[in-house]
Amino acid sequence: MKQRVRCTVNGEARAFEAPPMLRLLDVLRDQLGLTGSKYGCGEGECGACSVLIDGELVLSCLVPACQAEGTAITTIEGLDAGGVMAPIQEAFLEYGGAQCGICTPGMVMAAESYLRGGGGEDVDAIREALEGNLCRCTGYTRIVESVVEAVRARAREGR
Amino acid sequence: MASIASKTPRFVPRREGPEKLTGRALYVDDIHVEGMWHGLTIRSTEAHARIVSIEFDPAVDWDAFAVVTARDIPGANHVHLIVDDQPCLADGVVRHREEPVVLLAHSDQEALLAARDAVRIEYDPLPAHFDPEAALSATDPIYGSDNVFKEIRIGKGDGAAALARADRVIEGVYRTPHQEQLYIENQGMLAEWTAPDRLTVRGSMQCPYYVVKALAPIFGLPESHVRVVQTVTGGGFGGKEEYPNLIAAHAALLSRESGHPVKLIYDRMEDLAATTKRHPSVVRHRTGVDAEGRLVAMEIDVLMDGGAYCTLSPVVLSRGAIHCAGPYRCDHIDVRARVVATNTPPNGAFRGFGAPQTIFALEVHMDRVAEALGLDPVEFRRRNAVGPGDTLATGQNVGDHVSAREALERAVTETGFESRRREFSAANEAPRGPRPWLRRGIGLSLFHHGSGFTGSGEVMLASEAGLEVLPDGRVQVLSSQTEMGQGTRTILAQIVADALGFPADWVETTDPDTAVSPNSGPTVASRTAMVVGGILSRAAARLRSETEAAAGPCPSPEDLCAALAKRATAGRVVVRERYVQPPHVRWDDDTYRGDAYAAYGWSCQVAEVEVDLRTWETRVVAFTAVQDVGRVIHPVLAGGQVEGGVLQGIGYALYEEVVMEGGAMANRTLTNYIIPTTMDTPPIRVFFLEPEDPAVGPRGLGELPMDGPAPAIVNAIRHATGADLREIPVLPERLRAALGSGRRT
Amino acid sequence: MTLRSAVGPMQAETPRDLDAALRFLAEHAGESWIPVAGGTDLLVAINNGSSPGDRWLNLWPLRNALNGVRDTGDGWSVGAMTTMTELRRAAAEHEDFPAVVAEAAAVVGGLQIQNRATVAGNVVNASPAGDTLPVWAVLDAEVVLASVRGTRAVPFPEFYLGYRKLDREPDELVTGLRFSKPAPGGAWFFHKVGTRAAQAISKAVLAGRVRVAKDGTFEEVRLAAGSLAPTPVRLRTVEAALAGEPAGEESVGRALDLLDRDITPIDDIRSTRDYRMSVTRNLLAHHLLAAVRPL
Repeated sequence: MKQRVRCTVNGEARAFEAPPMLRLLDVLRDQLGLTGSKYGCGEGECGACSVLIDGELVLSCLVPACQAEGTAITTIEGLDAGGVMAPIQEAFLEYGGAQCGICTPGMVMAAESYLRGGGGEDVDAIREALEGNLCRCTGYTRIVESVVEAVRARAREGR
Repeated sequence: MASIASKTPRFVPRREGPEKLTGRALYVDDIHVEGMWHGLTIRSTEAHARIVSIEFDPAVDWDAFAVVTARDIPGANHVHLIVDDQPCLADGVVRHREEPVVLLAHSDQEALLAARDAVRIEYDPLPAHFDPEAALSATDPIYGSDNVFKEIRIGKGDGAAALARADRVIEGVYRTPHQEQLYIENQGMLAEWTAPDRLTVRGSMQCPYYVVKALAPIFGLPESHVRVVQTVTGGGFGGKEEYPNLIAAHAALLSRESGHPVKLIYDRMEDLAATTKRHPSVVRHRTGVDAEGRLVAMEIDVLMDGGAYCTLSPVVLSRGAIHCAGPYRCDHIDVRARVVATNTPPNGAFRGFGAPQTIFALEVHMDRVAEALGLDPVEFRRRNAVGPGDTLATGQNVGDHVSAREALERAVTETGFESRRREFSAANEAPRGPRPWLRRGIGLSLFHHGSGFTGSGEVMLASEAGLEVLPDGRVQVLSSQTEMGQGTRTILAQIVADALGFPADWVETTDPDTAVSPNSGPTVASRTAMVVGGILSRAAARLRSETEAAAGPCPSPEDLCAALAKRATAGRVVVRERYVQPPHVRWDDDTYRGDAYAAYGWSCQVAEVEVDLRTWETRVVAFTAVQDVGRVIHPVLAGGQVEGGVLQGIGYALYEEVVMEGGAMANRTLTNYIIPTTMDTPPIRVFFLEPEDPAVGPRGLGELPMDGPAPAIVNAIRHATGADLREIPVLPERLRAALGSGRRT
Repeated sequence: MTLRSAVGPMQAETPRDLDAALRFLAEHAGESWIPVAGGTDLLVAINNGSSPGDRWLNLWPLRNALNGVRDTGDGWSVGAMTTMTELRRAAAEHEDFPAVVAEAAAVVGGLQIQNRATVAGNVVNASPAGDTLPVWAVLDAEVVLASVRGTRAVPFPEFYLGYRKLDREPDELVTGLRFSKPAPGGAWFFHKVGTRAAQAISKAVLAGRVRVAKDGTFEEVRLAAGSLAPTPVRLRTVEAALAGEPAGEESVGRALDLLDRDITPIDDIRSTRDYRMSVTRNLLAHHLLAAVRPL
């Protein structure tokens, strides 16, 4: 029996019908046209499906559709407003934080969550913030550098 | 934390970066086609068996499904690669668990799940062999007369005689396991028939033309009727070199049977269990040395496990065999290498392609040889590393451009290797301080890696690439090289831009589509920058010279651009070039002697580890990679390749175990197949030794960094604890066994 | 395709409050309704094709009434739906809230998992490897259960009757945990040995509390372990062997010789019996002696 769910996605009011225990990831990708969040494992290990729900970083492959009711969801597509990349995205581009890109949406969401939480330049804190996101291409080094740069960019802009 | 500044003249942003960063890049599972059905594969649960029957429960309306078995294959039931032994679908017999037997497709995924449970396959089990050493002496071979897919012998001088004469002989046996490529994007294909005899396949892959050549015979089509398009590919590392041939065939079969486009995507468990892995190896060394600590004889036996079908085993073996004696001076080398068949899922390409296995064995063995001689690891290599004019195992003269010693010295200097080694040795003798249960160690590996295909391989590929002029006078690269994160699109644009004197964004690149992209060969073997970049440089040079011949000199980029635009108004302007083997490369496939590769990368890597004697856990606390890969085209991308390859090597050394039970992967989840997280990653320092001579071009980079971490780490653990380890991964359980299980406080 | 379970036929009921949830469970006893909170274990099972059932009681919207860490005067009460992230915050905010709780919460997967994984979820999922479970055992916590028939409390770890078997009636919900404030002084420890440094299943997970009296004897020792038996366990034989003994290597060694009476580690896909036994012995010895001679 499908349930009707109302929520906000990237600032827009959305409604959908889905089996209540269907993964939010599948709703985003298959019904709402938001294929930016990725399936990597279905086990909650890789982080490629990471989104923000009511400002909290979560794994959309482990959230059932019925629990999206009344929430505000932000996906990777919601970060670049009006075609202008967010500072974290610019930093990734400049510092080589993305290679094949499949982990990137989840990784950027985790980094963005860290920045929104006021995270600083401490490399150990950054690594901990990203410990739930697996990357096989980069060795993480330039991802961490990208986050450091984004922290600095935010400081420069007085945010 | 050291890093290569992005603000260098060679930095250009990753071509496809913005789409990837904003979630708009379309990987195959992001693509939705109207009327699309989903595919599912039913796989063997037996390692070796006759298929007695395949029964379809009559309670299911099978007419609503597409069902494909071996007898529905219109053409040849094999997946073309080197030896056409691998069936597309099992026909009467299965030779490994997870072998594909039945394909199903339907518009509704849940209907497919129910249908899968309604198919019953009855098997009559046959004896199965999982151990490659046992496979050699099996009386019931599953391949040929002796289970050997390929045997290679490399001879230099007289190894046996030299061993007999040697002052000392040091022996050792070393083992490496399966390793999973673990691209974060699982394998997937989307197939569609645009006419009864015209097939289009889109998907995640490294080698579009391999897929064309595999699909054509399966459907009895000319290659021109098969169009293959690479979608944005979320990692490959070799795991998408040949496997895509099989999954593409399955998607195409289902599409043909159903009359609908079919998307076939693996979930993680299926991808882990069923797709190719790095070949496991057993390498035996017998090494003769003289009283001065010099290598006088090397006898090396390499045995690799190919799994049930041949796939790329002969070439993996080849590279492993050619590299197994390393960058060392030795006049007498005798290599015997074999890859055998076992009843396990076929193994295949994975970054390094045979070299990580044999370089692991070699570099751990060399440290033991050094110790037996009373030499430290650095001094031993100083005495034995090749220099200008020396020859390698196949008799290849390294010429002038060889950097083994330079890489060694630079790594030693940058890491303070010798003093740190003494400092750690002293501290380990008398543990003090706040954490006396820790032992520190430092170890290194010295190695080389051939760029491009072995010997005559590039000649056989006969790669073609070119440039097309766009209406505004900019140019577009024509090639089938694939971007999978390593920066193909960006660096090929840079190479062409440099050759034309253009800014990089005046050169366009696309993901390959065999309808329009020439066959520039596969994206493997670290060949893209050097080989295909070389072809494109010549194409660019010819484009310029032909344009200037007509329009006069074009001193500025704007002049050239305008001249090209003018030419393009008169009609299509395309320049194509083919691979030309450098004149000095001479190779004999029968004797395995000569110039195995046109060029080499040289590297020394150093690992610093900390071992917790309470738990036997090893942590890499610092890693340094020094390499000469010729001219570095894009420092940020190149640095990223090294860092990524190093971390995969760290995984190979410490974490990644494929647990095989009954001939298949038991730990088929990311929960239980462990790759490093951010918290497992040390600071990684990268140093490029760049040639002063501007004529020296780029060498292969992608695989070289993968070869060194495992032996460097094992050598470091040995330094830290004295553990005589000869196998990876060094799981805490294994280190405990190697050290003796006594109490440690 | 990445779907492994038929979710179409699955039902979910979202009660409007705890009372409604309890009434629903009572009225539908025998229909196997599975309470789901953050879903970080249950959705993994659905995703890998081993879903424990088709009927789900969605408790997530109730969490604000069932979460939070409260100082009850002589003890602490932890709401069932307190997430791992909230536990970490509570420990940061309340100086006398046991830090070991936060240490355990910090290793339950990465941050994404911690934002959704709940105290009750970890307890009721009953994996022997649950990272918070040895901590509740060492705190002598009680599991508070509610049903239409009232509430009751079950001491940890007796809540576990066997491998993934709970002392919980099908119509009961865990509403929280509570424990008395430990006596001041002494050393706490939490040590997880995982397959890697983050986002790992434990091979052995240990929690403990050690108090040494002025006369140099072990005054109070509480030790608990996960991943070393079918359920989380208190190491009562070892504890008893240490009680009153002079705190030093000899008594620790003798007590740890009895370790195999309290734990029964096995060979499994992640580790071996022998390794688990050795590492547990080494780490317990380390932490017990560290309490004696703080480093």
